[in-house]
Amino acid sequence: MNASQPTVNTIVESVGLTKIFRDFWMRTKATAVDGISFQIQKGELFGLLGPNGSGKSTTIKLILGLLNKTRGRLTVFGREPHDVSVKRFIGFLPEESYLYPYLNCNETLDYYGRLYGITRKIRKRRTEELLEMVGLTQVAHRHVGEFSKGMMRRIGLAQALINDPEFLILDEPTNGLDPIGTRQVKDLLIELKRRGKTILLSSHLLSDVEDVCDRMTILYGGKIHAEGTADELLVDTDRTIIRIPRIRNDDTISKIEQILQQEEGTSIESVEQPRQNLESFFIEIVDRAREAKIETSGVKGGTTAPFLKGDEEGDVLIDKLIDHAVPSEIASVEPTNEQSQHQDEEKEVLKTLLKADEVEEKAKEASTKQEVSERTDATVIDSLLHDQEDEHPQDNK
Amino acid sequence: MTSILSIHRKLQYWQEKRNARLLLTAILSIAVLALLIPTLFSTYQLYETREEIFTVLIGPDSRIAAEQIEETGFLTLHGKDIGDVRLKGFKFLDEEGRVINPADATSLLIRSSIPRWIPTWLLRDPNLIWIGGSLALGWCISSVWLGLFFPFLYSILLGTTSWFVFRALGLPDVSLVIVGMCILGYSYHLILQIFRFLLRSPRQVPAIARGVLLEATRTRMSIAFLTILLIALPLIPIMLDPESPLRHRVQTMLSRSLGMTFVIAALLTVFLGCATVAFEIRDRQIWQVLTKPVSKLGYLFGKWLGIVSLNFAILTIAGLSVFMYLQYMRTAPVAEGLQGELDRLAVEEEILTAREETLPIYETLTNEQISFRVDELIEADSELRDIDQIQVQLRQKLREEVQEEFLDMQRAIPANIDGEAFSHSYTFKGLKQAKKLGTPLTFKYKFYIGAADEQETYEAGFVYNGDLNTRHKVTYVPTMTHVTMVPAYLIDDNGELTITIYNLLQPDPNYYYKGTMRFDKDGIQLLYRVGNFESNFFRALLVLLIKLSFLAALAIAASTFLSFPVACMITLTVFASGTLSPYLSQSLEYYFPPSTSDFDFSNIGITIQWAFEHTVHAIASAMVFCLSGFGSQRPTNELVNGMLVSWGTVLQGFLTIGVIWSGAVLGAGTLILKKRQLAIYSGKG
Repeated sequence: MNASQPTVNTIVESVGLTKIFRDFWMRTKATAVDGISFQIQKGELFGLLGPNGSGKSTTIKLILGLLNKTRGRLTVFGREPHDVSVKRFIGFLPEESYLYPYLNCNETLDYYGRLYGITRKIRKRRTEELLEMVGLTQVAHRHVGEFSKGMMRRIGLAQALINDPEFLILDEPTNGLDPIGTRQVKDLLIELKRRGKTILLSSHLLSDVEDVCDRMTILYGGKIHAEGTADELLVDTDRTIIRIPRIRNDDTISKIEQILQQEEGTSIESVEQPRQNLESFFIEIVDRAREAKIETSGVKGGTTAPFLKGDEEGDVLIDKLIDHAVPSEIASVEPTNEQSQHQDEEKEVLKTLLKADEVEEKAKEASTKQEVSERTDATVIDSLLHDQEDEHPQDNK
Repeated sequence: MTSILSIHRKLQYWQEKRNARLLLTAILSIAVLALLIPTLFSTYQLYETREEIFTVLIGPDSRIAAEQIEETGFLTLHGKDIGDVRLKGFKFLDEEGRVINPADATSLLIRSSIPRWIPTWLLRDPNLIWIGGSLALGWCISSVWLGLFFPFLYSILLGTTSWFVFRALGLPDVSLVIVGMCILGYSYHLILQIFRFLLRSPRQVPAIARGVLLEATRTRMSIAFLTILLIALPLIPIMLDPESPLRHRVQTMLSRSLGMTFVIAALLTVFLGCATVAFEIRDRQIWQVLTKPVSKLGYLFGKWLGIVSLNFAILTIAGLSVFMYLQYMRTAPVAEGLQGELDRLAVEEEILTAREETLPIYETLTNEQISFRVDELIEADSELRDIDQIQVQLRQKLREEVQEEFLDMQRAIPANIDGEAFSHSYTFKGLKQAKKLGTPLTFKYKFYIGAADEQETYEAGFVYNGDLNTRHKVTYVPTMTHVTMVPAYLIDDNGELTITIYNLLQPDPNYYYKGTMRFDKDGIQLLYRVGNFESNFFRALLVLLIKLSFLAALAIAASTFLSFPVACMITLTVFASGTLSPYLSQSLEYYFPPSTSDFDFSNIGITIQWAFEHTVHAIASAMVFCLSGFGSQRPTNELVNGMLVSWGTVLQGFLTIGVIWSGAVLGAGTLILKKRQLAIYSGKG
């Protein structure tokens, strides 16, 4: 494998993986993972579910090489987990964020960025974008040791993404986050998946996993007890739900029941109005408050960092296409009508190039439980990037 | 207060701009050059005068010149009188009319012409001003371009204000201390910034090293040690006894300042080295690091590099401050009269210098002679004579004793018998360089005689190369070290010098002791200058850095598998054992656990004692064997005695301690870390 992007399709493969913890006298203390076999394919969002003590975190630590397996086979990007070269493509958020308390946010991301060999300019840009995304820009110069749990999770998430990883491992990522933060994380995961990233999500919060995962596996006592897609595992094939606008006439319901009895020999089990889930309702309230610009001292997260949407290289290209004036100069000059019109036209061009609207729409669709579109149309920027990549390997890979 | 902070922030923002930095660079450069150029001019003038005086004193008119100095205390050069009236009557010529020590005579003459603010050592090499000026300029420019101009300015302002305030209050020593703290504190900060700049590469090892530097400046433990050093170091000068001779003050200053710096740096190295890995393993920050593309070796090496950089900064700051203060001490007031001048001369020639020592060549017995004497001993001993076959070990022991006895005989000179003084001649070889340099040699001696009573004085005589015209009587106190100067011209063309020592004691026949004068293997030495103090000082600091580097490697390796307190304890034990290994080695020569063959094991108490003593002996021997290389490198000791710390010593230390030992220890730590499972079973998932 060279230093550029990995070419394997199976990111993680485990066959009969077992981990036994022993004491000093080599007696078995606990069998954390017992003969599990699974695969995580490229571009997949894979969920690892299970109650506390089921072996989720141990499995993740085995994948990362923080523990040695007792038996079985485990490969990551086709190599041993201890291989340092594969770590370049991995981002990891542990169940608690173990960061240096004496570093501030900027320094923390800068430090981990250096460990990935990311150059200064890119590191600086990504740090700004990630802090904006996780809503920590205002506290960028505060030491991490002073942070609350939620803020620690946010900065932990940011450090896991600093290298724009091909394989992202998240252990309880929404732990300590409010519903807005949880929603943002889910949107981010969907965005990353859209870009072809592979994600391993471990959680005991079932709704988190259900909303976003393609496939999931359920562990208990170190063994796999169920594995499959959400539909395979959860769809009740013995029931049918029909969504229609509200029926105001009770007779209509009776007529429907009659048809059912005639055609299917069955009857209506219940008639009720659908309920929005509490998370969506909560988000609606907050969004409305934001639009009304009500003051808050809480964390204000931003949209997904541009480099995570694949726009980093696009920014560079756009810089070349459009003259970039100093922001203070722009702020100090009131545009004339002609200039305003020109700027509006430029924005339109940008929108077309970036197709930002499409991305936002997709995220909204996903949050209302519709399937994410599997459109794979490359944007203009993406296609340009592919051409660029062929000529010039990126220096951060 | 808010407005002051606001102004400060604006100034900080202003100095980030390129134009501001260029302007500040220009201003500081002009200021430094304005100080440098007049200094350089004055120094070159004095240097030329010094060279002219020296030429006169070794030229054909040297005798006339020396006689003038003896009569008046002055030498006339280009119509100008140079010298001091206190030099009148001082002996510059020997019996043959040659100037005894032209170099020292020149220094004495020119002393009064030198402004107090110019150090004497600059007269030997004024080009050093260029180096000093460049360093000062580099210091100022670094401050500007690393964004530290205003901290630099505040330090200067604080130091200057303290200087004038405390001097006005009649506390000049306190003013010096405060200024010292300001300069040290700021310089330390600057050097760390420079290191962070040098380690800016986006690679794993420099990134981790940089992280260690940040940890050192932001964690309480490190800050405590650094604060102690930066406060205590400037306090040492005010603790010196102003009444004691200058040479003693200089030696005390050197010994205490470097000693304290090394100890504090060593403690900081141990604690920070153990903490930086042990705490990361305990608090799991290592998970976040080792799940990045960082190898175990890279991780440990980065930690090591960070601590070594920190030690480099500490030694640089401490070394520069000690060095600068020593230059100041060189111009410090001494006792009135000739004694004071000799005191100052002793500082230049015996302490702030780099000397090599040479021991005399003793005769040794040939194998045949030794065998013959051993046979004689066996024959003379009735018990040994009757044994059919003497064991090999016993014969070897007898051979060693015979050789040792022969050497001891050469180091013993009997007392007078019937008016005839006994003597022995000792030849020193390898002195060609000393002859070439022409500076006087120091003959150092320590004799024992009779009951070795320190209240008594005795006499001895020295003759050089068998020439009775060079005879010269000295008075000595037993067990104390004495020195006498030997002119370099006495060394022959082969680089050899023979010193005949006479025992001039005439013992009272009623006393039971026989008055034989003895000395140890290193009881007589010839010391000669081979280099200057500045480069010697630099080499000494390098050796200290090498020792600290090993300590850092040990601390880091220990903490890969031990908890913080245990790792500290092990590392400190090894450090103490290594430092004390020379003394431990000497003690072991006198520590004799009972041998197995002589022992009665039926007594349990004595058996336990036997086992204990043998265990202690075994552990101590192992420590000496493993760590003697560490303890034998004692550069502070060498500096205090004006002895050479050679490049050979530095290289040997670098290869042995710096590369092999440190590499082995870091390698072991890497293997341990590779085997270790860092993510313990938490039972949570």
